Amino acid sequence: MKTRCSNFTTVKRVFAIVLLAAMASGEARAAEWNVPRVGHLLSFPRDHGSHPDFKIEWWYLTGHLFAGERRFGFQATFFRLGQAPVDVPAGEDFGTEQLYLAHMGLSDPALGVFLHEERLNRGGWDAGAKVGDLDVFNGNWSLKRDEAGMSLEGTILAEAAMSLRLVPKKGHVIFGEDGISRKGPEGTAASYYITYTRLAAVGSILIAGEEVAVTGEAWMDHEISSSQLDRNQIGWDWACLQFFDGREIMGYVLRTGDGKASDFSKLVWIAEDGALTHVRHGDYEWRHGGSWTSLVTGATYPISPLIRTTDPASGKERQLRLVPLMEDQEMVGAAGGVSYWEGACDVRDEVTGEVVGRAYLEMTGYADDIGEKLR
Amino acid sequence: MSDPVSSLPVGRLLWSRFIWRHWCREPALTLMLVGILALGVAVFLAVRLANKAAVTGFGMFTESVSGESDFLLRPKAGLLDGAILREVRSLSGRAPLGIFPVLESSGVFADEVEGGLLRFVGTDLVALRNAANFVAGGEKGKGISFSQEEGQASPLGVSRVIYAGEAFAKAHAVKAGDEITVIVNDTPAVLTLGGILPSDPNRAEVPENLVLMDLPALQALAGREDRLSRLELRIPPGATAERVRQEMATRFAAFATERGLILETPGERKSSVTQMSSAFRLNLTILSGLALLVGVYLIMQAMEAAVVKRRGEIAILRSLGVTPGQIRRAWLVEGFILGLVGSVVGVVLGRVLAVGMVAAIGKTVNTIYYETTSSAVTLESGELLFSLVFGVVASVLAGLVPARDAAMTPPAQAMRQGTQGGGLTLLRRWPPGLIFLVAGFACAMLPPLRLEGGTVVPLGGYLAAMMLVFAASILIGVLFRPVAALLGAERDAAMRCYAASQLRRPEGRHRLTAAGLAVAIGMSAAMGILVASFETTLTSWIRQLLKADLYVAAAGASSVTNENSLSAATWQRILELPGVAGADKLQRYTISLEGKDVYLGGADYNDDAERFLQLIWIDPPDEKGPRALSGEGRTKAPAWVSESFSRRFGYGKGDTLELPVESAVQEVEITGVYAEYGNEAGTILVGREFTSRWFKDDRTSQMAIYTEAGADAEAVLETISAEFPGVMARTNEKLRTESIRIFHQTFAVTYALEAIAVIIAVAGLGLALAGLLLERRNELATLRALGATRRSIALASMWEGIGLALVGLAGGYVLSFVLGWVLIHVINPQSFGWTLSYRVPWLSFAALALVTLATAALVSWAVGYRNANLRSDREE
Amino acid sequence: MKALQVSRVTKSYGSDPVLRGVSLVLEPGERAALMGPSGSGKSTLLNCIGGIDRPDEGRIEIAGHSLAGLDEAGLCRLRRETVSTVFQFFHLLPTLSARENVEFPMQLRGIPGAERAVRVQTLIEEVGLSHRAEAMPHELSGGEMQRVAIARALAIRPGLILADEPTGNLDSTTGESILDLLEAISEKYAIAMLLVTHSPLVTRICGRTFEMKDGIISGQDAEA
Repeated sequence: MKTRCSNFTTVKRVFAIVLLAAMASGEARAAEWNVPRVGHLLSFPRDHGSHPDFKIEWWYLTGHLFAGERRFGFQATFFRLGQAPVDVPAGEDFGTEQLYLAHMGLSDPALGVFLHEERLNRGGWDAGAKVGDLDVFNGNWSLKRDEAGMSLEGTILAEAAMSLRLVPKKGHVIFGEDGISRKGPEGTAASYYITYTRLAAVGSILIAGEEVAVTGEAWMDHEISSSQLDRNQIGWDWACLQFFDGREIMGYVLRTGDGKASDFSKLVWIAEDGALTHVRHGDYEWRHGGSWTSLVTGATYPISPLIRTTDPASGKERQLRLVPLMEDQEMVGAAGGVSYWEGACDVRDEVTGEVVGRAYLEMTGYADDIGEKLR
Repeated sequence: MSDPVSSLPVGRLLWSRFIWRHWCREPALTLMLVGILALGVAVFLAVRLANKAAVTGFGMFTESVSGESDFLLRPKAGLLDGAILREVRSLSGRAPLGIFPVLESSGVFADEVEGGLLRFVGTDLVALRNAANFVAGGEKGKGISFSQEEGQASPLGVSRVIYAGEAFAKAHAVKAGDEITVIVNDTPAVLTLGGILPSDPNRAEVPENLVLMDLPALQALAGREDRLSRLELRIPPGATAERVRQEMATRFAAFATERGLILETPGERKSSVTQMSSAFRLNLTILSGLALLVGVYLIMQAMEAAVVKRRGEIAILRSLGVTPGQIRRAWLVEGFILGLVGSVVGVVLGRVLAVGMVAAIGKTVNTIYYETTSSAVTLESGELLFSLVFGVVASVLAGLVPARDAAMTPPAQAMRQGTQGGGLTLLRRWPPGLIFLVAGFACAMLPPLRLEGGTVVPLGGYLAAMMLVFAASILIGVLFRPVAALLGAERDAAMRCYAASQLRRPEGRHRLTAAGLAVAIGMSAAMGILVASFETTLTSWIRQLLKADLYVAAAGASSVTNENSLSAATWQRILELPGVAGADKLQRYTISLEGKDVYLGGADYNDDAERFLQLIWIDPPDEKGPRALSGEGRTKAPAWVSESFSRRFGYGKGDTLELPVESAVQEVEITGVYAEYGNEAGTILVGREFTSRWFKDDRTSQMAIYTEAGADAEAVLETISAEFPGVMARTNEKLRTESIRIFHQTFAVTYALEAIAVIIAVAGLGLALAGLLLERRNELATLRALGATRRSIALASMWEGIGLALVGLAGGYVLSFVLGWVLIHVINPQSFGWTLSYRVPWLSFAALALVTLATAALVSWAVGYRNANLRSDREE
Repeated sequence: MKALQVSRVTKSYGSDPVLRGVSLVLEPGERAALMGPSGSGKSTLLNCIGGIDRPDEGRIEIAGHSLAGLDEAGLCRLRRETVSTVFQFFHLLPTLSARENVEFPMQLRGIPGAERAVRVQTLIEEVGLSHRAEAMPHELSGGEMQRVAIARALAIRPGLILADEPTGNLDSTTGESILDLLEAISEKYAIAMLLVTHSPLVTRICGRTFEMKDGIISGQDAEA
């Protein structure tokens, strides 16, 4: 195996350098990037599409799929990374303005298998995102919106494939105050944050050479920004919780270099009718729990946090424990240089011990300082 | 007399008590035997490894930029349009398929315009990163942190950044960040070395002349916007990989057929490359065969000498009741063990030797075919095992004769009768020699063997060469009498007469030695004849061909693989320079015809009835004028093909060819066949107006310029050089000298290998003489009793050695004339389709003879001097 | 049963008759000298008895076995098991020590190691070389070498020893002691010996002396 790969590894190692240079170079254009503006009205479906005048954008799908007794977790992410201008542009097949990074992950807790793949391409013949409506692709992966919903096509190496129809069960919500989600005191560290909190998923999964019909529920974020993190933030813990009662929570803690949580950390309850209840930092607690160390990156992740918050419906305090379906759900980033943990969990009421919903948990900045790459 | 003893314990006894102790008692002799064997095996292995390296050196990057691709999709001729990328992606549908576009181009260093060629490989360097996904267990660690310099442009655009291997950095003394000026096509460009591709200990180094660039950057640099050389298609690992591979194979095979493209696995690509270097491999085959044959003779001699030395001991063993069979087996075991030890040492040595040899061979191969890196020698266990087994088998085979001789030793009681010796009866009868001779000539008449895929193997020629070598080793016996007569002519020189008397009744050992020498000399000299004939033919061909005053090409044009060309603007401006009367123009392409690569030339000759390139005709066309290829008044384009093309594909005058060019098939009619020694793949010449239309290409790879009467060619050359720095211009004379230089470089390695063969043969002669003297120690005692001094015995030995060398040389040269004939008239035309005129390099033959005689004299004198005081076995 | 029985043996090389009807008989333990001038046919007779040459006519039997019926393998077995030869030039194996030279024929016969060790020791003592047992042949004097050769000849417990000028290469004192040794072992083990010699001294230990001349033994009639 070693000899097979070595031909390109020599080449590859150098291109890790080239690539990071390319990703970092966005900074040179900071002044020119558009930034989310207070009070700006988003319009759809246009704003489901790409915003190439912003530096960073992603379409982020996570979800839980079921086939009889079998259960899977999946993640499909399409990133767009705006680039600094170049001296001499190449043709449209090898675009220079955008890089497209994408991640695909599939967890099969019964087998204890977590499959994932990462790819990076220039905007051009093999990757791109449409302006005006949702239509992104990267190699043979794609996410496309139509009148009835969305279609997701993805593969992980030649090991697995997924083909899903995703239909919103609730309308999209826009997080943040006045239409923008702030991530730090600097005005630029903010994003437009559009989310479908509950999508019905139907389709099929190919795994271990076997095609399985699946149904389930998914969550989709679409975030548009030019600077996701503030200077002293090193990473975040984020989770989306989908309760069986039809409500959801989206919450995150932005971690700063001194080990504290940023004041811009946030938690939001989404009611059945889509009404948002914002909980400020300090009014909820995110306590680290559980611990798993990656053999690949060496990073240690607190994979089973406890969230304490007040239920806006009952006014009572809830203690919600995220229980990962499996420990190793680390997305190792080679091309993007960013590794993070993104995994399917159950939500357990810590008081009653009852499973009350399902969640996807994301932890960044444990393997490396993600801030460097996303500021 | 019951209780018959099984031979096994006896064998073990003979081994532990005799063979082993002899080795320990005479470590120097044992070491020499092992050394000789090791050298033979080493040369054999080195040649094989070096040969392989030359082939894989090129294959490596042709094979794949992205690692090991599953398929390559390439055009039969020319380049692909970039639009094919989206088509291929949509054709692959949902299947996980990595599509890596590659463009290859070439260039040269601006300050080494006549130096080696740089191969540019362009691929999407961003997407290349994804190749990790296509390797099972591929490395997916963290990225390397890197901070970009303020104000530096993003590498995503059309950059001037290149990446090269450590060999490149070392050879040109550059480091990352340095600027390098290269000439691509005819234009100089300043490029920055962006980084060094680290070498991987498990893999061959990145070839010294390979330069990697981002695809759009190279497309811009080479003036090949939106064009691609090939697509590499890869399927990632996984449970369904095989299913996907099969599905893709079917889908893309149909696509390739529909579009007239070639879909192949890297292995298939490699084999077509391999074929290209067959001329070179033929040389190496002959040479490694030579080293081996001589090696086998040598082993035989050395073991035979040992038999003689231990004759008395064998006789005692026999008198004690050891059977001849047991003796024979013991000797075979000895041969086997020597062979094993020698081969193991040889394999190690050969591996080391191969690296050095690849450097030498690489130089040769570079010149004609393509480039290699010396570390491209990979340790192939298959090759090693093959050489090991070969060495052992050869030494056991070589040990058969001495073992038989040893087994024929009578018991000690009979030794007194003086019936010893007489073992080697081999080579003593001439009828088998005649049979081999006749069979040899018969084999030479056989037609070549045509393998699947169009490879032609001159099997009959090889067989003939082998038979003739056998014939010569047997028939050489007839030369002893005349040589003895020659030496013994002067009756006053006592020691010389004594030496002559030995040769008058040659023993088996004499014959074996002379045969070994004759084979070495014969094969070396035959190679000499081949090279000389090649050179004569080539020189006269070049003289005939090079009639123009100046030759102009894009830098680096001395290599066939060069893809640099002069742009239309450049060549048109050159034609308008003062003093330039006109020019022949040729643009060259590589196309794939019937699955094999051949050259297609678009020729536009100087419109002057006298002054234009005139070919040497094998089958001349009806019209030969400068406009004969223009195709005026013809429905199909007329084409002239080279002799090698004609032989390789079996097409001749009057036949119609279907040429695949980029998007279509073009029919041409062969109107003539001409001689060409520039390449063995074959060339098709058509009018340049056709190729520029077919390939949408108005460049030209080379121009032969005719100056106006009275104009100074040198002055015109200076103008061209000054005005076009990326253009390489040479005068007629300089081009000729360079052609000859390239030719000599091609054969550089053959000279070294020949030298090794002759050295081994002379060493064998020394060994044989030592054996003879040992066998004659009673006689030596008598000579001493008669008043011969140590020096005079050495003198006798020297004359005997000279006599042997004379026999070997005479036989060897006769053999070489015949072998040369087989090489030139049978093997050569069959394998490359080249007609050569036979020429013997008398001067170098004389030199070789003198050197061999002198060395033989020296060695045999030394052997005589050393052994002169051997005790007779009567004096113990 | 006779140790050696030669009956009317003839042998010619070309038209030149070398043996012309030789007959002789040796009883077990009997020692006989075979004397005669050069060219009288002594060596040819010895070769015929040793199986190196085959007689044209006549019959040779050793310990009751006729040589005529033996092929090459049979002759090897004969040399390995029944007849030993002692040479003028000793013919020790140069790579083997004195002890190993003596041991070698036993190894050829496949005698087990323990038994071999005892017998070798006995033989070495018998020929008076205990102190030189580990020496290599080139370290030994002529007399010592011949003692080793005799010990080696005894190793297979032969019924017959053929000795070809056993003292021919030794000074007279040493020669005398070798003869004493031969006599002693012949007596002790009842081994028949045929000693080919020029030296009248040898006859001292022989019960009988055959004089050979022109291919016949004196007192016998020529066959042809």
